[in-house]
Amino acid sequence: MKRLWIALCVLILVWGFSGLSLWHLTRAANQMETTLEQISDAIDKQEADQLKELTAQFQLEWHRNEEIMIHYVHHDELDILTGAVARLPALALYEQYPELAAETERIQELIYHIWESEIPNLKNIF
Amino acid sequence: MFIVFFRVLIVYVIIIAGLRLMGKRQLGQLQPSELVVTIMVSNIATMSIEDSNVPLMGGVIPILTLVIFDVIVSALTLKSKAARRIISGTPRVIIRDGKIDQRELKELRFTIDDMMEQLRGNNIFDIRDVAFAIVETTGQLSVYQKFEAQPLTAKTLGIEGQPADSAPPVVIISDGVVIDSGLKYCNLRYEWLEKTVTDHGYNTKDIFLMTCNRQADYLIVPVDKCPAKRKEAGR
Repeated sequence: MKRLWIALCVLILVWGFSGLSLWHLTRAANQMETTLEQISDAIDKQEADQLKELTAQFQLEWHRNEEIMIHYVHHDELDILTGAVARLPALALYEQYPELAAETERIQELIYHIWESEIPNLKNIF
Repeated sequence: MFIVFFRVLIVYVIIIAGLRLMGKRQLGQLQPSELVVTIMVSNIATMSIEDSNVPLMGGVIPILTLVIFDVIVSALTLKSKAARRIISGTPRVIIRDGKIDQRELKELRFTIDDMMEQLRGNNIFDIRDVAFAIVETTGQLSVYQKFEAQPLTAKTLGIEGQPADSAPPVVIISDGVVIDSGLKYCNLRYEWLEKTVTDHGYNTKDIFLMTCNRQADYLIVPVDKCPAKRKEAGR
């Protein structure tokens, strides 16, 4: 009986960790998506100063989130995103707007893909 | 490489804790569900150790999940006979009164070679000696021999023994260290041990192994490099 209680406690811990990671991922994805949309708006308006500020802010945001995501997301996916995020400030600094827009779109897709693949739905389970 | 080192340590501790949680049976005779868990746990553990791209939690969570599932299934089978039948199966009789149940053998996909091998493992070489042979849920064959083929026992001969006859010898010195629980089991004192060892020309440190039963019948195996007599001694 003692074993069963220990197992149930571990089960609660496992569920707790899984729930917490999903909550963090959803929050981080929403937060980063908001910033990415702001970047997209700024690209449309060609606001160079705001773009420099926003891309630097997004890079910081990404590194903060990545530190936690590294515990539950496959590292390969995070590495691709880190590489893409690293390009944003330079693209904004040298005003390469078409490429910046494409990278922003790509990062949005990658973040959405990570979030979607962590959702415990039937499509992902099977 | 430090990452791999620490990962191995962490996963090792988790597997040991998991196996302890599942109980001793996990290490010996395995039920089908237990075997599956053991195979899966070892595979998952290797994956998270070898591939540093997989988060450690990607290995820990599945292992813990398997262990939890196994404990819950065990608890369920303990309470419910139906669950036990579904998960572990039922023992099947393959030989009755020396006659092989061929249909049962086919159903179990047990070849004649498998059966003969298991019978020989039980020290039986003639099927006619078997009263019952049962394939257990672990795949082991349990055999009950016919009366005329059963080995002679004191009970069959009607010989009554002393209670001490059923007490096997235990280790009282292991690698030069006196085992107090062994001495206590034999109802012997440390002084007796000292005297016996000295009588044979040894110190306790010179003894590799000493066993003794409750009748003070002992066996001494000295350490190989012992300068005294290198012979085994006993009473």
